[in-house]
Amino acid sequence: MTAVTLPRPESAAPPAGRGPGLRAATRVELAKLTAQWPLRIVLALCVIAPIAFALYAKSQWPSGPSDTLFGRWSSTTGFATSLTLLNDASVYAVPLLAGLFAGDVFAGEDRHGTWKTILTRSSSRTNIFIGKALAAATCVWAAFIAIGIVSLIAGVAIVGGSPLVGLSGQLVADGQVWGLVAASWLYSLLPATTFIALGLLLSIASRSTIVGVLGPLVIAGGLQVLEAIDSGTVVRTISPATPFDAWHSLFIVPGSSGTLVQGAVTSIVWTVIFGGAALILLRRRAFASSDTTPRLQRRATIRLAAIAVVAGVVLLGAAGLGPTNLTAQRLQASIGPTFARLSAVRYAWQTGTPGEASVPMTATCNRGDGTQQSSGPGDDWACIVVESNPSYGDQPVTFDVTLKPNGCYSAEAGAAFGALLINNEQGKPFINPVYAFDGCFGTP
Amino acid sequence: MEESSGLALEARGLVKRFGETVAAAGVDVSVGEGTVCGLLGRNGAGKTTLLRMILGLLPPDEGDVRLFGREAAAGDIGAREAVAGFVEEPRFYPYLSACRNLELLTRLDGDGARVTPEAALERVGLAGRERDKVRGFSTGMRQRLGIAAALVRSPRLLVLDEPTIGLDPAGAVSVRAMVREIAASGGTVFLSSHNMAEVADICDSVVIIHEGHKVWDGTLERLREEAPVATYRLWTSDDERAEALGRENGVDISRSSSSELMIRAEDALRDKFVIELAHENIAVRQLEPDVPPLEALFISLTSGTKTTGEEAS
Repeated sequence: MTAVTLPRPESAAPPAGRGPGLRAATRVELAKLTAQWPLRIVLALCVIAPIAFALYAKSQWPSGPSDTLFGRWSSTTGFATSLTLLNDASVYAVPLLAGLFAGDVFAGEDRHGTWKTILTRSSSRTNIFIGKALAAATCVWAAFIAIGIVSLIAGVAIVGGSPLVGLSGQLVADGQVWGLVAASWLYSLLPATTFIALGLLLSIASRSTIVGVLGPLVIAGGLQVLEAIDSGTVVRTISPATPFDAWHSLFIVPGSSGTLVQGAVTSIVWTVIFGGAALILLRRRAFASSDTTPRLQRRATIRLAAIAVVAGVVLLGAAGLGPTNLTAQRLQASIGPTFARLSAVRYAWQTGTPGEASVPMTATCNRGDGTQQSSGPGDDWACIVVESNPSYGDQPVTFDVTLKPNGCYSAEAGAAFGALLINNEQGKPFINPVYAFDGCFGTP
Repeated sequence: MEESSGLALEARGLVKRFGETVAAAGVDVSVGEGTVCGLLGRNGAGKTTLLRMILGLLPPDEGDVRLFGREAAAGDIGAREAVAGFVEEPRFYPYLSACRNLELLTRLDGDGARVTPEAALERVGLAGRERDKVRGFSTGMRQRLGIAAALVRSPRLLVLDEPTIGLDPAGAVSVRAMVREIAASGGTVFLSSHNMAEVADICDSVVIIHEGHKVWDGTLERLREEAPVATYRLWTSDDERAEALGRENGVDISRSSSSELMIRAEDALRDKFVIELAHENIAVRQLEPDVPPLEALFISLTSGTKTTGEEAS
């Protein structure tokens, strides 16, 4: 050691309020997060993966992942490519990103034994909490927005900028489609933030990186399972995963802001609950030992697992509560007009002249053999759509319909309306929009 | 703001329980400004718990901590603006360099940091290692980095938990010199240690705790005065005659379990006895202290169970 003169300790007590603000705490946490190579790689993947997906989608033309909303158009228009990725990102990427960035942001201090190092500085626990939360959220938001921007730009550049078919069979206007796709991604930041708050809570409560990182993914998976078996409105209304579907209403006509508002409220309430609980846990925590022992981690994990099991059982018990929105009436009211608009789109693409969706369509929908209650999700729906054409009389067509818990459906009528690819009058092939189509009537 | 009482640290009646275990049972500590105070105790005596309460990491169940006359509840960072230190082994982010670790910590100090990370690292002997990742640091280097992390705050009260543990002898000497330098420039140091010689070397006062209780406190001079007479081991050419001669001269002399002669006598009497041995043609082959006086006092103060049913963590 060498002799370096250190300044004399201050002779007077320091003035109050000289400590750092939230900005400093956030910048410190951001510096720590972005200095970790695994997280840098994840951020890079968020840029690379959408480009790879667009290239893959292009190679699959004219087909696409028909089990994902907009998937069947993902090889035709870059807007659908981006929205297909948004669907997948909501299910897989958001919980994973929330786990990676938020799930370790507190547990990492336990893993490194550094709580005592930062808590003996001049930042309050509340500042450190908010700084960590903002840093984790910034990283997740940045990664999510990167996926959105790159998928949209790469999608249009690689797949093309053909018009997008909306979820009511309408063609989305060129002047709106960029804004609507961007708005869908931006809106999804709300439920993504809920999962960030969940990651923070698990990170603090478990003190375990494994629980913090994998917890949001496991819980998101559980919510998916719950959604798949549920048709009641109660659980769908309160589920933190439901708001990921709310952006669908941006592509439904006539438009309605009800679903968006409800999704935003649900997301904000859960974010406040998870984030508030995490802050309380940190403020109340006594740092009695340097490192979190495996015994403490085990105890915390068991406690969390018990809470999760109880919550799961309660949610399962409540799964069927409340009236279902998935009724034959709502499906009928949606599928008829949707088919009419798509028929007009097909006419326009085939002839090059705008078609009118004015031909009256009526639909009758039932499940299975018609003896069971016609409500709820399932792949055994059948809808008979009747085209009342003054020239040809009534033309009934039967669609096999799969109705999903989120109020979206896929309808197929086989070759009744031609093949998947048909040619326009110039002999150029295009995807037949009524060969199989998706629609949504929206639910909470 | 309350007026400073001339005390950098004043802890009154600190109690901390962990279930059935009592880690601190009403501990009072006072450390004057500009002094170095040593905190002594056996393993599990409650030293680290006491330091955690002082640093605000752990709220006491009872009692309170005052820093420079100002009450400092757990988590009250305002009251601890002038305090820095560490408990147990200092820990840092292994994926960051030493300098980057300190830079981020100084940001958490706001504009309270007055020493640059580079200067602090140079002061603790880590110059040239600033850009090395902490994951490659030895225990001793982490210990130095911990001291550097405290120094960048330019604290008026430095709280250190066994600051020389893991350091090589030269590093330990340097840390002791630095502690004295801080005190000489008006700073206050409160440090825990197992090393009685270290405490005797650098401390002005001492607090000894045992099983969560304070069993002694005072100046080092007082501690020396109260220390028992030193015990020495003696090897001679004729132990039987030497033992008899010792008794004749009023020396407390006995045999240890390994048959060496053990003598307890004031310095003057011991000198006289050694001269007598020479006069009697008994060669003194070796004479060495068995337990230094301060350690003997420490052992006597921290022997046995303080309170039935209560154990320090």
